[in-house]
Amino acid sequence: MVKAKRLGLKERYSLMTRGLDWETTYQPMDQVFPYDKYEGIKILDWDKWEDPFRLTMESYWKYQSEKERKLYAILDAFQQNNGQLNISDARYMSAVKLWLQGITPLEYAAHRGFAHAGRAFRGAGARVACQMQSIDELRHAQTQLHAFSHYNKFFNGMHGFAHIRDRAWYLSIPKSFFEDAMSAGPFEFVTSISFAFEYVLTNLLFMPFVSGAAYNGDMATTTFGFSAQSDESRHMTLGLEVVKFMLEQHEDNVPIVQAWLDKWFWRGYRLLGLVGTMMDYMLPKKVMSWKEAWEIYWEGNGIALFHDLNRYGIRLPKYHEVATKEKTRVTHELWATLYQYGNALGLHTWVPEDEELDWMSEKYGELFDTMYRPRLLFMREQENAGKRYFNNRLPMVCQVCQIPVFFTEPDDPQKICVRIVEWADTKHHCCSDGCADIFNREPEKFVQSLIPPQQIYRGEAGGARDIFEYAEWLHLKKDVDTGEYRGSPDHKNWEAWRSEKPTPQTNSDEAA
Amino acid sequence: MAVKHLGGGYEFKSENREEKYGGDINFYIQWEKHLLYSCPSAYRAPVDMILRDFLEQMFKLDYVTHPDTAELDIETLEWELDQKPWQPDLDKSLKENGIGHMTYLQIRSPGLNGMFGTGI
Amino acid sequence: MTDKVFIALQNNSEAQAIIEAILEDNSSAIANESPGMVKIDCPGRLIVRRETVAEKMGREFDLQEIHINLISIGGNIDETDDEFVLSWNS
Repeated sequence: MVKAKRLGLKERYSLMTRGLDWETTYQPMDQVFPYDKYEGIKILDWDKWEDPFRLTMESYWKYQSEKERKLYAILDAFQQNNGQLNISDARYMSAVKLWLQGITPLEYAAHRGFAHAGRAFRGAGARVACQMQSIDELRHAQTQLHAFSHYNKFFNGMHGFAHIRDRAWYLSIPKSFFEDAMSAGPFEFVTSISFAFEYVLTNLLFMPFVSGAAYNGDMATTTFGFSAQSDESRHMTLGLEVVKFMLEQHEDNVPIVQAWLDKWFWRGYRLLGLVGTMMDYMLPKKVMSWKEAWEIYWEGNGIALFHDLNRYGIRLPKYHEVATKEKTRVTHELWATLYQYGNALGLHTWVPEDEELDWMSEKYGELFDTMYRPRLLFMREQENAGKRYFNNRLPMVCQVCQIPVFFTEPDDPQKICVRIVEWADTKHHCCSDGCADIFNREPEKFVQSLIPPQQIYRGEAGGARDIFEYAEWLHLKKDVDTGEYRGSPDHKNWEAWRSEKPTPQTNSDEAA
Repeated sequence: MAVKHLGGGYEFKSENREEKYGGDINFYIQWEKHLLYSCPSAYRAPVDMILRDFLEQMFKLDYVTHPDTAELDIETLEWELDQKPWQPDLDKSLKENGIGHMTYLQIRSPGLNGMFGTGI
Repeated sequence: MTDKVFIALQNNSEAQAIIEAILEDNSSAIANESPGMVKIDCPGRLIVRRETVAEKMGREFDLQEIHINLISIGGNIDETDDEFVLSWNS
């Protein structure tokens, strides 16, 4: 084969992404692409779209297949060498379970969402970028399921991730986040997922948390996590590109984009509370606190990004200062919530060990020492007295983010923050001004939310009358999949495996 | 503002409307300064339930873990209904007291301000 | 204060050459290691030069190979066959 003279990157990219499309004549373009105008975004010239990575489809396949080869070689080694025994502690598995139940389905939802957005845009450059991302997201869902399937042989609570995705109260948080985005128009979808979530916020998930997985000996998660993140930087770039593209195309786009950034920053931040709690509580060996991660990735890198967008007339997202005020509390408030509603969770909760509490005191200071540490110690006393604390009464849940309403007022950590919103004579409750604003902007959308405790009370959760029947409807076995970690089958098995037995039994409920 | 949409109207009824409760209501209560319980609690109850019965037979059982519950005097509670000061008659029904579907109640118990001096 | 751009790479032997090249070509860059990864912060602008990476690796290097070990970035990207640049315009 004769090797032709290689074209430059810019020419190659231009050849592969321009002139491939055409103006339709049998049907008007607006009929062929019915979704890319109704949101009010004005595009004058689609050819101004630039993919900064200039990755052609050919290179895309080449590098993706190399990533897959590397990943699966490691996953094979992990499985063959009983990699599950190398994690720091079986408590760590709660983080893995939450990832499998809560995050992996989002990858699949993103696959669907980008397939739809790719079809909806009439510009070829945007379509190619969405196509690549759609394929990436499917890859992420698959590699995560492959990686986690090994853990599923040894630990409880991982058996029905698809079943509980549509039923569990704590999974309605990520699910509703994505369904809100997917049911919006294509520009809002890409702004929400690629920009607000991936560019601004997922660094907090894939960097400190995956680094934490590495520190806790989870080779499987580390490997797919960083492999996925290598795609993520391309997605983030798409996010920044689509935002800049809209802002540069027409000044009328600026207020629309700003409203989306306000909304999706807040929704993404609320969702990431789960990740912060994984970092602070579910990693037995700590790498970085949520507070530190927030300072680095939002207060440093995130704000730098908004400074850059300032020249288009974009300001910092609304309520970012509230998010920053909450950085010393949110993970402690959320963990206490997961702990007390643990009878309906497909993962275990516990009171951290003393050294972990000391680490939190060091990272979080006075507020932790006066409020959260004493609360955790009270819970420990109860448990030691044989009365492990559970709250079996269903909570109020935010109509927008679907998180139980546990957040406290921005300037008063002792007062629960509730905002009442009204639409068509029915009252609803939100957890914050951020969520209340989102509701009030699109009330007809959010009155449709399926809120799990309300669903249960209406008799629409398999007829469950209380939290225990509800857990059965989730296919979660009491005290095996749910509840306290100490004394659970996962705990007993772990102790047995770590003591001397070289070959673990798979998925037994009782320690041998 | 309204939802931007394609095609005809975009109108939906509230998913949690009262008519789905078969005569009962869904309402919420929160005990201020008792953050051992992280969230306001949600209830479904008949509208003719007497408020005192609700407090004695439902609410107190749910909050049994908190040491303040044993000392709680429901006669001295300070109330808010939908975030406005309000005084109920404990011997009247939820409905007679004006507690309706999606009402949010807050109570404060003078002298009982949670544990550790920080409202836990 | 100039806002910082950043690039994060997996901490493996292949990426080591890229990291060394970046630190050599960007005198203000600071590498922060955490388990499994290295995050390099740099005020205003950061450049990855194909030539320097190839030299460190002792083989030809296509800049797009960076995708294999890349974890994340912060900044606007401008990429050609020879240079991968991150910058903030502000």
